[in-house]
Formats: sequence, structure tokens, C-alpha cells
Amino acid sequence: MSSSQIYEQHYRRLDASIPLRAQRWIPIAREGLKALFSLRAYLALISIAWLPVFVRLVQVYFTTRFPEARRVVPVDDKLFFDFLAQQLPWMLLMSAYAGAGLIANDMRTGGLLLYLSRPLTLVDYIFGKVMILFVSLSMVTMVPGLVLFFGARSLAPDVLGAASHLLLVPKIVAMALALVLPTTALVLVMSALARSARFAGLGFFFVFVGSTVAHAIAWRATRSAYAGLISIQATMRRVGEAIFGVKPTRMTADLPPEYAFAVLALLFLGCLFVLKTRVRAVEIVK
Amino acid sequence: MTETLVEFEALTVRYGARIALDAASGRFVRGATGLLGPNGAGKTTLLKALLGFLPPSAGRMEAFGLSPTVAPLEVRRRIGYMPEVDAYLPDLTAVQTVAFAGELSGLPQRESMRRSHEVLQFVGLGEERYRKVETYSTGMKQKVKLATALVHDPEIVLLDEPTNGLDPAGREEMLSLIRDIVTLRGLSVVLCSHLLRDVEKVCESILVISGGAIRTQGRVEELKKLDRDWYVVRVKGETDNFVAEVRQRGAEALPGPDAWRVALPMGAPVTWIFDVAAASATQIRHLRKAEDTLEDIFLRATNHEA
Repeated sequence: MSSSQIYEQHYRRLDASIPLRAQRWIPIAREGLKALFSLRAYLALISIAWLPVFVRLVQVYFTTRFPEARRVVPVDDKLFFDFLAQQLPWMLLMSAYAGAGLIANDMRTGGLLLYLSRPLTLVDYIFGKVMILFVSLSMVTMVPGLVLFFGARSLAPDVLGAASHLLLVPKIVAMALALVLPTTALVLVMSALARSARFAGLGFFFVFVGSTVAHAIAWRATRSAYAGLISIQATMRRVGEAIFGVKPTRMTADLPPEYAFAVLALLFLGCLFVLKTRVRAVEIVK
Repeated sequence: MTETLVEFEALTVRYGARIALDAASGRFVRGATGLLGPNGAGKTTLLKALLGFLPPSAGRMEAFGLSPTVAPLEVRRRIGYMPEVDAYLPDLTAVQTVAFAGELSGLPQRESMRRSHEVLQFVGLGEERYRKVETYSTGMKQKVKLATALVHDPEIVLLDEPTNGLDPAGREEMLSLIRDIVTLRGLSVVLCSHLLRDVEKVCESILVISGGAIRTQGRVEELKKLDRDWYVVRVKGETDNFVAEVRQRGAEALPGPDAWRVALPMGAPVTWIFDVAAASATQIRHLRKAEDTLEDIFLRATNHEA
């Protein structure tokens, strides 16, 4: 007697062929974000990262009630630059939490094959993963930055109400991109190289914080502003200072912002290149 | 004539300096085709070349009239792939995994979820489909892989060692599912395995691959028929002399588990064996016509390499 089991016969053939989807990265990004937003710890991180928005809004409101306070805490471009610069630690935490496992886990469980054996290109896969992190990090940089601007504009129309102040919107977006894009690419590279979310997170912190420490040591040794080029954080800050027209810090005062921007652009493109060569469906053992 | 779905000619694929497929030529036809070969023969490499993962360094490959290197997305849209290794997404249940795979293949979200439930029922996961895949046993993970390969209703399903790690009952169930896919659902299947019994139970056609080259191919029944008359022979006396005499006369002798298999020369009567025994001073103690099995075809094909 046959030992095969009886199972329900629900399989049916499809009537029409499935067309190739145009935006093939969308399901990847959507599923990734859905998974992140289902985590309480992630939501808690976002909530905490939004607290400075409300603190700044209270500050703006305070200056509307007591205009003389603007001499101490002015409502100008620097307010938004400072806000975005202060979001950096949150962004790093979010990157490590949300991004370290994005590729490493797929490699560990063979999920990469599940993606790449479908009608998807490697670029679709990487772009989908980039979008997960881009949206996550924008949630603690660009989005609160814009909320802060429009909130402050409605609270203090006499200070931020002019049409010319709308230029702050592209400035906030530009600085947020300078923060988010290189960070996204770097954490994804770490995720692709480490194969373990934990090691990827640690590696990311090591590179990010390590470059800042190396900058501090190099600056003390040389007193050269160009030492800032080895620090991801310093280059991000220098680009932000240039965007908002803020007076630079002592350590990077003479560093041309174009150089800082070039370093960030190279970091981003270099990371994409590593991702494209590292992420593949078949391991080639030479 | 049986419709050809995949065709490859003089296909060469390299992993760095190592040649994994060496001018392999063959075709997968509609129905169930077994891709047989020992470990490291190049079976998985052939499947990965078909999926467009490995660009060939020479030769030609076409699936549904399309080149996997030129139109990989179109080819993969029409293929379902069940890899040999684990392939699941962490923290997702089986139903979410399969639905997600359907969406990646282009199905709309709602239809994909519906199909996911259907194929998971079909493979026999029932209520277990709401559990996370990482908590599954090997057999259940194999079923999830089969379901992800089927969710978008492909034209051909590539199954890479689908019975790996399964107990006898699980193996039987998996083979029964694969048979069902082919016979009742009309899908084509390439069953890649080193286990002859699995292939024999499911496939009408086979390709035997060894050392990166296709050694023999065709319909199993025809391969069995086309072969010469083989006899199982046991002799008393110096067996080596008997075998040497057989080979000296231009016939073939292969060692079996407890007897030799001897192929008569074309047109020779069975008494030819007695002549050989007399000439080698041995006695025939056992003689019967061999029933050609897939194992015989496989052994002869892979001996070709040696």
C-alpha cells in the first residue's frame, strides 16, 4: 500500500501570464518597512528621536512670546542645521538597528536566492534594500526637519513667514540626503560583508566612530583642516555647514566643502560598487 | 515530437579557473526530466546557468526561445526554482514567504496571498503555514521551497535535490507531489538528483551529466530499449580470464554487486557466452538476461568518463 499522504488539491493554473512589473523594488521595500514598523523597539527609537522636534518647537514658541530671547536662541538657518546635526546619533542607532541585518540575514538564510531566482535584477534588490533604510533614516532626519520648519513657520510667521524662507526646505532636504545616503550605503555594505547582523552593526559603528577618532588624532598631530576628510561625521557636518551657510567649527574651518562633498559622494558610490560585486546569487570560489 | 523548453549546446561554464560545465549539450522537454549525476557533476551549475546566474564562457543556451543571459527576467518569470540549500526569509511565516515570492514574481499583492494559501495547502502544510519558516523541520522547509517555486505558476520547475534530508515517508510524499505537478497540473519539471530511484519514479526523460558534460540523454524507455542484450553471468574458475576473454573479443563486461554483466556483440547468439567460457577455461554457473534499469544506463554513461 502506498504511504503517500492525502493532501488537499487546491493548486490551480493561472489563466493569464504574469507581466513583468516595472517597479520591482517596491515589494522588497514595502515588506522590509512593514517588518521594521512591527517592532516595538524600532517604534520606540523613532519616538525618542522625534522628541528634539518638540523641544525646538517649544523653543520657537518661547521666542515668539519673548522676542528678546532671539538674541540667545535665534530662529534662523542655524536652528535647522543644529537640529539635523543633533539627529546624527539617532540616525546611527537606527542604521545599526534597521540596516545591519538587511542583507546579512538574507545571506545567512539563503533568502538571497529566493529574491534573485525571481524576475528581479541585482539593482532591484539593492535599490529595495536602500529604500528601506532611506525611509527609516529619513524618518529621523528629513521628515522631522521639515515638520520642524513648517511648525516653526506657523508659530513664528514674523520670522519664518517670508517666501524667501521657503529656501530652507531644499536646504533641509539636501543636508538630510548628505547624512542619509552615505550612511545607508555604508551600513548595507557592512551587512553584505559580515553575514551576521551583529557583526555588521559593530563593523558599521567601528568604521563611523573610528573615522571620527582618527580625525581627532590626525588633527591634533597636523592641525590641518584636511584631516577632516578622513572622518565621515566631519565631512557630513562640513557639507551641512556649507548648505546652511553656518560658521564652520575650528577643526574643519579651512576645509573646502566641495572636498567634503566629494568624499561623501565617493563613499556612497564606492559602497554601491562593493554591494554590486559582493551581492550575488552564486558564490564564486576561485 | 515532444516540445523542447530548454536547449543548450556546447555550453561551457567556469568558476574562475575551474570548468564546471564542459561543452555540455542537451535539452529539457515538456514533462518530467531527470538530471542525473554524481555530486559535483555540474547539475546545479546547469540550473544556475539557466537562471542567468552564471554567464557561459562559451556555447549557447535557450529557454522558451530566449537566452538567459540576454533576457534573464523573462526567463526567470517562466521558471520556478527550488534550490538545494535553505532559502527562506527570517521572521516570516510560510504563508508570508510564499506570498512575498509571488509578489516578487509579479503577482498582485492580493492574488499572491491567495495563491500562497493554495500552494501551501497543495504541498500539505495546512495550518502549519502560519508558523515562522525558521521553526520548521527539514521536510517542511523543503515543502515551503516547493511552494515558493510554484506560487507564480511557472512553465517549468527546477527542483535541485528536492528529497535531500528527508526520511523515507517524507521522500515518498515529496516524489508523489512532484508526480502530481506533472501529471495532474501539466507543469514541466526538471528533477536534479544523484538518487536514481527518485528520478526513476518521476521522470520520463533523463539527462546523465558527469564531469561537466552530458553523457547520455533521451526517454528512459527508449534508452533501455536501444541498448544491446545484457546478461548477468557468474562463472566458476578464473573470473579474470573470462572477463579478459570477453573484452578481447570486443564485447563489454561490467562488474555488478555479485556477478558480471556482459553485453553480447551485435547479432551474437547467447551461446557466444559459452564459447567464451570454454576458451577461458571457466564454467558458467549462472546466466540470465539482465533487465536494463536506470542504474545500468547511469553506470554505463558515467563509466564513459573513466
